[in-house]
Amino acid sequence: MSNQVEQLCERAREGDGEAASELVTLFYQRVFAFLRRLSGNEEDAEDLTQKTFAKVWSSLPTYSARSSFSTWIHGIGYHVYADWRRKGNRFDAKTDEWWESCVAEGPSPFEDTAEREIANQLYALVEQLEESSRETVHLHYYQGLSISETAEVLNVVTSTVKYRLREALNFMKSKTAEPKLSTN
Amino acid sequence: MNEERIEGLLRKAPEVKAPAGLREQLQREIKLPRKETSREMQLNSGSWFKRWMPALSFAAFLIVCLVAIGVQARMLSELKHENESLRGAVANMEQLRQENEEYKRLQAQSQELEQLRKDNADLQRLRLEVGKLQAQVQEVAKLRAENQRLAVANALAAKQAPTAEDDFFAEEKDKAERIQCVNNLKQIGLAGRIWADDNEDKFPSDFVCMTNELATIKVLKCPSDKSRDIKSWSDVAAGNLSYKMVSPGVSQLVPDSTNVIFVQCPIHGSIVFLDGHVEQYSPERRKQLKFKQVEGRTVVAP
Repeated sequence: MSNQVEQLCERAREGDGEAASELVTLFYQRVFAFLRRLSGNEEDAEDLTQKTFAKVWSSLPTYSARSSFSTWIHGIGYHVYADWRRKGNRFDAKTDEWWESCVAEGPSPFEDTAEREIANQLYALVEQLEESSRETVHLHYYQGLSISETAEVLNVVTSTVKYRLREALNFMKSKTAEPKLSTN
Repeated sequence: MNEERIEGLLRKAPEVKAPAGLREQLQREIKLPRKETSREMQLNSGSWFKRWMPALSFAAFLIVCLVAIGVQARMLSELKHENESLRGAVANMEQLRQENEEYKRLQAQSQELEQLRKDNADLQRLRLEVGKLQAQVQEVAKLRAENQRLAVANALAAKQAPTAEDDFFAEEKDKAERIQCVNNLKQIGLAGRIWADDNEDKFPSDFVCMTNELATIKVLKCPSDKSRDIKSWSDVAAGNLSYKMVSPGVSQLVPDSTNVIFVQCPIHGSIVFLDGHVEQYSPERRKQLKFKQVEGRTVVAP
């Protein structure tokens, strides 16, 4: 996979449109999902995704393959999102219904209804986290990046990523330990 | 709920489906950069340089740091070496200081000795000068004593005897007075003979008788006779005369008239005889002269 992506990048850098289309096919879903979860609405996520890929094409000659293409494109997407946030845009917190609709559209990953409810509560708690911790959880758990890749995308050290994740887990543990949740 | 379950549920987050048509839109919007021509590559060499600029800068900075560290290490080594040498010098400093003090002390002694030598030389010179001065003082004392002695002697001599000059003038004066005395006697003899011619060839019995034949009364005073002052003929009458008439009233016709004494100067011893000649005698001759009486006339014994 990684070699294939590297070859596509090399070809796209040399001006191969087909390779670039292939890269779009491989990564637009993940980029869109990342930006959709961060921004909170679909229209902004589409717009940010387009900006992200435009930035990818313009920056492709400078891609040095020091990190994986996935990490690199997530980094570009994160910076596009950060610019968007700095312009005063706020994300819309995702409702339980949105998560329900997401699950309903595909095969359910949960074993039963109780687990799904708990998962929905956790997703809601994630949206209550601080911005930095929320972005870290999104990249590490939702997008599946490793801790080092997450640190590279956020441009922080790995220990910071670990700290943020620890804080987020503690927060969620404390919230899920309440009587209401424990009875469920 | 434990962390593993939370993490597991988070990883099971449902996929988000992209809207339909997004992929095609993204593919349409692909704007890949043109492939660089050789000229652009040349131009982009600058961008390559820009891309590597941080690394090159860091490398240059590192090299500069290494050079600086090397220079500093070398300077540090030199400073350590210099420090060690200075410490060694400091260790010898005390000895050098003592030597320096000893040298200064010796130098001071040398200067003092030199000064003493100079003082000694001055002292010797002064002693010699003092000796010379003492000799001169003694000589001066001698000369002064001699001078005093000579002065005393001179004073005594001046008191006792006239000087040669004085003797010369005194002698000349005495000689002149004696000549004047002889002249007086000649005039007295001539006056006596004239008076005798007028008075039966007899000489006068005293000087008052022949005052008419005398031109002046000054001839009756011997110049050497300081005890008399004959001013007038009355003084002659009173017998205030220098000369002594030895043979008064004798005839001029006697045969030994050349040897008969008419008048004699008691001061000079000069004699005028009846014939008018005058004889003067030295003091020794005067002591040898002898007189005798012949028929009432005084004559000089042969």
